[in-house]
Amino acid sequence: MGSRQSAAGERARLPALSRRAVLVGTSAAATAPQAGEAHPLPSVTASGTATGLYRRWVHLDRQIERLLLRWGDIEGWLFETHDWHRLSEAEQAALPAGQALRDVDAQLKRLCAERDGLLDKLPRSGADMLEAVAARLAVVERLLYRDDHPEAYDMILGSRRDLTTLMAPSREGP
Amino acid sequence: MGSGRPPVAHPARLAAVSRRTLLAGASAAAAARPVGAAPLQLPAGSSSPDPTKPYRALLHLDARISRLRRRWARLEAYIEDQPSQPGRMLAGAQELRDIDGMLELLLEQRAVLLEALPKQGATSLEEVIARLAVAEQLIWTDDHLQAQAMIAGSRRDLTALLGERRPPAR
Repeated sequence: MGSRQSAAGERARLPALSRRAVLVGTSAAATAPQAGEAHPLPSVTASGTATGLYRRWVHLDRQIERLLLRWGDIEGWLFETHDWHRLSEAEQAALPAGQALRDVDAQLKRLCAERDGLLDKLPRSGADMLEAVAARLAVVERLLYRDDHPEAYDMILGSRRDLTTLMAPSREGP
Repeated sequence: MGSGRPPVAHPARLAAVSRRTLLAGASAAAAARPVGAAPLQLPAGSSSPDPTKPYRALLHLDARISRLRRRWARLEAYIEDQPSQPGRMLAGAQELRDIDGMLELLLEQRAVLLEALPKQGATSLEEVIARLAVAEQLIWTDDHLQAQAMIAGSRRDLTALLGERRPPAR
């Protein structure tokens, strides 16, 4: 989990993405939906209201984290093998890997917008089940950078795990 | 208030206290426990029968530190307003050094306690609630509004759920 602390999970990551997008010359057309998107998002209604929202947010955040890593891999490869920074926009567009980069860019924009919009809708309180509280703490875990608040982060992580453990006996029927 | 703003509960603020100590002209002896200070109580270890006690002890320490910092800030402002009263300035500077010494001690205790607090392994909701109260305190509101609101909400929700689980009092 350590590496993700500085990789994603914050709105602050959006500007970094925009700078990258500028570097590779992403156009407005790149925001169009991309085909072949993996990892379909979990349905909100399928797993209950609040708990489903928390889980969906965490899923979005993880997917964004994966895409950011993918973006970095592609960009690094392009820089090493194609002198990416020296190519014109037309030359960049002609490269299949350049298209892949724009695809990832577009997905990131869409997912970040959905994640940030969803964050405002997540209930801060009002859970009537331990499961919902644990799901909420999973969101908190990803909102915090461990490097900034190591003790608080570990306490949130431990509390979520403890709640999961404490829930186990209550799940057993009479 | 700017320069005298008391450090918030955070290890990084220890350095600020030291700088302030230097500004006030305190020697190393000033870091010793000042006369008349309330006895400093370290929380019980893991053998404590009440697992929430260490968490509550940290919150208690934080409250004391906050009070001392407010006192420090008020005193500093008072001294700055009395440039023509050397006697009052000297007395005020001595009290500032006393507060500095107490703050350093309390912050040291706090750092030790914070490191020793169990981060997981709670066997009751009470312990999780107490831990969340500490986590809530550790996060600066301005930095993580949503996270802190969620932690505070979770603490309140667990408290309510705990009340539902408890058998009604006779």
